Formats: sequence, C-alpha cells, structure tokens
Amino acid sequence: MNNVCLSNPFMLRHQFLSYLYLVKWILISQFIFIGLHIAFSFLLKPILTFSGKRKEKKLAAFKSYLIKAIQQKKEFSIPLFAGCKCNIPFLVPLILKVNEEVKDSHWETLKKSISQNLLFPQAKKLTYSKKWTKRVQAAGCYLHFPDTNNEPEVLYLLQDPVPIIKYSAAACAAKLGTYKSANAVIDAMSCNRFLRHPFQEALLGGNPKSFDHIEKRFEKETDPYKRVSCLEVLAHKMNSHIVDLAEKDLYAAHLNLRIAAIRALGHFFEPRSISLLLPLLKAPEWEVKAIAARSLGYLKAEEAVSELLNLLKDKTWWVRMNSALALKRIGDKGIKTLNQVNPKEDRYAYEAAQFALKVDLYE
Amino acid sequence: MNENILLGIDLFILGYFLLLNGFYILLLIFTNPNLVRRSQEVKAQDSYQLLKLDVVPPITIIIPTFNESEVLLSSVAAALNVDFPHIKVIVVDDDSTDQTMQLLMNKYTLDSFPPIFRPILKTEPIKHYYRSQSHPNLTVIHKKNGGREDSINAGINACMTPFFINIDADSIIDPDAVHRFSQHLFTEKNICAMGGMLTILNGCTLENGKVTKVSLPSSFWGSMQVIEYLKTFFFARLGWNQLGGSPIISGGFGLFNKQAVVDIGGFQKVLAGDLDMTIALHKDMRDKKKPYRIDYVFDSIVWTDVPQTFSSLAKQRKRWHCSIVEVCWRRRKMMFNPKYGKVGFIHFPFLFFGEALAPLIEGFGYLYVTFCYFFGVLNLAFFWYFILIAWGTSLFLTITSMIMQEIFLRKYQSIRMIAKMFFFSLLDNFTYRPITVWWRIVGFFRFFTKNRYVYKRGERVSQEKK
Repeated sequence: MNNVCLSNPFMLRHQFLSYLYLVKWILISQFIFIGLHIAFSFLLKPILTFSGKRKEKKLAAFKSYLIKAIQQKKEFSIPLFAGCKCNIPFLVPLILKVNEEVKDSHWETLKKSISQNLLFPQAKKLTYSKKWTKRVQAAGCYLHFPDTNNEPEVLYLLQDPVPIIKYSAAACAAKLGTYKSANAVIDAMSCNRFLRHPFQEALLGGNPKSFDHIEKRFEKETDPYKRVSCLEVLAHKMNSHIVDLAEKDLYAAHLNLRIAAIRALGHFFEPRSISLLLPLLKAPEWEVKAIAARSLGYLKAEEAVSELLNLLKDKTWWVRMNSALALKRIGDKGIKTLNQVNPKEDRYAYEAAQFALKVDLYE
Repeated sequence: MNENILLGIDLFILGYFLLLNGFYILLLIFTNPNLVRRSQEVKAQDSYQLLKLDVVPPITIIIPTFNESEVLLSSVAAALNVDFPHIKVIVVDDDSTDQTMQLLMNKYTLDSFPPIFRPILKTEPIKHYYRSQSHPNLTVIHKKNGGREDSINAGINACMTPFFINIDADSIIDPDAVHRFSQHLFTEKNICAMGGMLTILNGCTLENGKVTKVSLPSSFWGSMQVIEYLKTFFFARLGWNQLGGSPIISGGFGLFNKQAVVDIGGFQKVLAGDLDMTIALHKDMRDKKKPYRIDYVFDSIVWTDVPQTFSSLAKQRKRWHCSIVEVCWRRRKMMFNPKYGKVGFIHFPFLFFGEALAPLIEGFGYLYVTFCYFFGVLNLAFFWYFILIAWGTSLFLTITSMIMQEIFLRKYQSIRMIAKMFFFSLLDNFTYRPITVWWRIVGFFRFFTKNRYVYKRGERVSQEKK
C-alpha cells in the first residue's frame, strides 16, 4: 500500500504541518535504515569473498608445502605448521584435499600425528561448546579421523539436537566399532521413530565389528524398540545364530518387533525359517500375514504354495498382493498356481494373481 | 464536507501506510541474521563434506501434473538430475487428457508394479503405479481426476521418506536446490516445512531439464513479475524466519515433513492449498505445543513458468487474492488468539490487514485523492511529497532485493539485465502496481460470489531448446 495520498482541509493547515514534520522524520529514518542495509549487503559479499579467497590461497600454498614435506619424509613437529592457522576449519579441509592427491604410508603417519597433536585437543574443547557452529567442527574432525580415544566426545555429540551433528557422530561411532559406540547408535536409532535411516546406514557402512556387538546386545536386550533397531540392522548381516535369536520374537507382544523378526528371517536362507514362518500365515493380524508371505516368497518356499493360495482370498488387499507376489517369487510351482486361479471362484484373488503374473519383479 | 472526517481519513491512510511499510522495513532488517546463519550453514557443511555421507536421509520430490505434457518432461528430467545422494521422484498424473502418460511411458520405459505402501490419506482411486526401468528412483502414479491437492496426497501415500518436496509440473528444480534445502534442514532443529525461491523461467534457455542461460522474459508483464518475485521472495519471506516462521510455503516449491502433513490430513482441496497448508501446520504444531520451524531458504531455487499475457496474469492474480480472503475466513479463529502466539498476533493480522485488505485501502486511497483534487481540498505539495516517499520506499525495497540477488543468487548478472530490471522497478509503482491493485480488488469481491472456484489454467509453452 504505497500510493495513498492525503487531503488537506485548509482549516487544519497547522496540523498538517506537524504531519509533514513527522513524515520527514520517517522518511529520513527509512532512508537511513535502507541505506545501512544496502551498505551492509554491499560490504558483506566483498568481505566474505575476500576472506574466502585469502583462505583458499593460504590453503593452496600450505597444501603444496605439506605435499613437499610428505615427499621429503619429514616428521611431524609443531614448527612444521608454524606458517598456518592450525585450527579445525583450516586443517580438516586441507587434509581432505591432500588425501585426494597423496596415497602414502608416511602421509598416514603424519596425518595421525596432526590429528592427535593439533586437531583433537581443539575438537575436545569444541565438543562442549554452546554454539552449533563450533560443535559441527568437532563432529567434522571426529568423522574424518575416527579414534577410540575420542569415544566419550563422539557419544556426547550423538545426543546433539542439531541433526547433522548427530548423524556425523553416529557415522563416527559406527566407524569406531566398539561395544559402547555401537550400542549408543542403536539407542539413538531407537529414540527416532521416523529418522532411523541415518543410524542404520551409519552402522551398515561402519566397522563390521559393530555387528558382533549388536548381536550380543540383541541376545540380552529386553526393550522391544531397541530389539527392533537391532533386528533392522542385523537383517543385513544375517547368520544362523541371528535366526535363532529372531525366532524368539516371532510371537512377541510388540507388533513391530514381530514384523522385524519375520522380515529378518526372509533376508537369510535357513531351511528352518520356512517351518517357523508357515504358521504365521494363519496369524490374526493382517500385517503379520502379509510380511510372512513376502518372506516366504524371498525364501522360495515351495512348501508354502497351498497356504499362499488360500491367502489370495484374504479380505485384506495387502495380504492378497503379497501372497501373489510371493507365489511368483517362488518360481515355476508358484507361477503355475497363479495361472490356475479361477476368476469365477474369487474375483479379487484372480486380479491379484494376474497382477503378479504381469509385473516384472526387481528384487 | 466535515473536515474532521477528512482528517480522520487522512490519519487512517497515513497510519496504515506507516505501519505496513514500517513492518516491511522490519522484515528487511530481519533478513540479515538469516543471511549470516545461511553463510555459516554453507561453510560448515562444505568444509567437512557432511552431506556427502550416506547417512543423510533420503528425500522424495512429488510432481503433480494435469494436462501439462509440454513442460512435464523437462520438469521430471530436472528432478531426476538433482545433486543429492538419495533422491526419489514421484510423478502423479491426475488423469490427464493429453499425451502425459504416453510421453512418460516412452521416455522412462515404465513398468506397472504393485504398490507396496498403505494409503494413509484419502484420495481418488489409483489406476496404476509405474516404475521406470531406466530410472529406478522414478515412480509414476496414474489416478482418477481429483485436483492438484488430491494428487499431492496420492504422492504422499507413496512417499517412503521422512521429508518430501512438492514442485509444480511447469517448474524446473535447480540441480543444487535439494542440497541447499538439506543444508538448512539438517542444521536446524524441528523443521516442519521449508519454502524455496521461485524464479521466472520464461525467457531462459532450457536444455535437458537444466537452465543453461538466464534471461529476462521478453514481455513487459513477465519482466515486471521477475522484479515482483525477487522482492517478494528475497526480503518479504526471509525476514519471517525471525518472526515465528514463514506464513506461506509456496505451492510451487516447498519441503515438508511427511508426518506433520499426514497429521493434519494432507493437502486440502481449497483455493489456496499452499497457504492453507502452511497455516494449518502452524495451527497443528501450536495446538500440540510442539517445537517447530517453518523456514524459508532463499538460495534453493525452482524455475517456474509465469503468465505472460495481461489476461492470464489478471486471472491468476484475482484467484490468488480470492484464495487469501478464503484462508482468512476459514482460519478466522486464529486471529488474535493467544493460543497461537506469533501466528495469531503477527502472521494472521498481517495476512488479513496487510494482504487481504491492502488493495481495498490502496484503491480507496486512489479514489480519495481524486475526490479531494476535484473538491479542491488536496494539498498538492503534500501529495507529491507523499507519493515520493511511497515510491522511494518501494524502489528501495526492490533495489535491495536486486542487490541481494546479485550477491547471493547470482542469476541475473549481466549489466544489461540489471539495468533493465532497474528501469522496470522505476515504472513499477505507476504501471504494474495499480493494475494489480485492481485485480486484487476484483479477487477480494470474487470471494463473495459463486464463481470463486472457477479457474482455467493458461496455455503452457515449453522453454526447452529445440
């Protein structure tokens, strides 16, 4: 609303003069504010560009200096870094850049010395900072230089409210592969109902030792949410022992736990699993029936064909569809059964069968 | 004429002007902390390459479409080309009568597949689900016609990720838009929704779903909209981050927490689905007393097609304003309601007094001046003085937005383009603005008529380089 205007009844002229005075002041203050803002905008970019370029130049110069030092097999010493600002924002990107160019055992030793002598003391302090910009520096440092000595700090950052710090700490904890850190990631994963992916991915891409720790934890764990988290991770590294452990949860009171256990069994071919899953096709919960059907399909359980055929007539769409797809996955016997479904007997069963027959399964 | 009445009107108009423009300047000031915070986010994540890790949660892009085959393929190509580790794309065809499905089938080799999700939100029946052989992260849903909001809801049902982005089928997402969104998403706590910047595609050169050359539109209306969009998105939206969150996440480009959207029953079939959704999210979060943020990220960009002709622009603006009035009416209980805090005391009054009623007051101002002039009660010196202030304020807000664009976005960079934009911003207050005021007045009164839901989409022309 800009182009509005005012009238001036002549009788009230003196009052308008005071308005003019007010408007003048508003105009001046407006212009000052806007002028300051423009000045700030103008100044901000050159300052940022200047500091960025300066940092880049310094980084490039120090990178070549460091590469030379590596080639000359120089040992770590504080004077070696005399010419640079030895803080995390400078050193971590520098090391990452050198990492791309140098693959050398001496560099690995030197890198370890840099992290232990220069980076970790700073990171330890920054871990407990109130500012997220500082804590993210610590997280970045621990993530790229995982060291079991920093475990308490990493686990502290795993509780951070800023997501990216938490995820980076999870990735670092998973790389450490200790019992404590693997369990801490599982705990953090269990606290999140929806954002579980980062923790699961961290464990899957981390130290393989973590799986042994999670397996041990799963043996003893009583909390159903944490058992679900353990199973979701372990499903990707199944073995016979985990099948034994998951078996206990097939009839758990917690539905999500039951589903996780059924799904886990479908990930690993263990002949015994088929007999364990077959009775679940008659479970009262449609979710259990649907997932059990799917798992049996993955296990190519020919023994389940007749039961799956019955489930094609189930009242729940999900159960029908999963059963039809399971039959297709089973192979020739299942496909033959799908072809024999009579449309006059059950229209829904027929539609599910036809759908499964047409579809190209990627799994 | 009673001079006290005239004085009262004078004071009302002056007070309204000062209050509204004062608030705009406040918003402008509030953009600064956001600019600083944004620089910190970019620096933090670029230095330690945190977002390059696999641990970042996946994000889904939902593209609802209806009879937009001319532009859809570019939009889908752009969505599939975004630079982000885990991206999924869902295209929802609302039973188009043109070649949409055929084009998608041919280009992406679609295979029918069984849906493996449980529909949470009610939508019109789904005809088919398709998965692309060439792009495994692309899903196409073909459903019965139910409108744009219904299509987004169908996309939400198929969305398996905790966050989703919705873009229009006539919009081209910038390759780093999702990355920039995620920089903010993963450094802020409790993000419920985020809005990005819409920039104008008309006039630009598009190749394989990527904007390769940025130019201003050739038409007057298109160029004026470039300035308008810059002003709206740069200063007016960013400042709201400091005032309890953005009052609107544009329907053309926004990121949402899936669970938060599901909790309020998905997108509603109303005139302004986007505005209503944003207000509903604010309401729901405040009702539940949950901490949340609805922010705006200025450097996450989508290029969008805008009306180029007088008539199509008029239709769009009338509809937009009618929808603002509708949302004000639907959510009227939030106004000055202490339960809704800043939303009840800042967002909603601004939406009603600063947006819905603004064209009426401005239009009344024009009439009032004419009236005073003919009755000889207009102080011409004061009038010109006032016009200059209004023009100067608007001009400065535009120029500031242009400077911010130049510094932070770097899209319209050539001297010629900047000079052209400056020229158009000089004309803005005397040409484009009064016309939009008229359209908005018509839109306001349309709310009280039966044909408020009548909307015919304008012609779409592909910007793809032939």
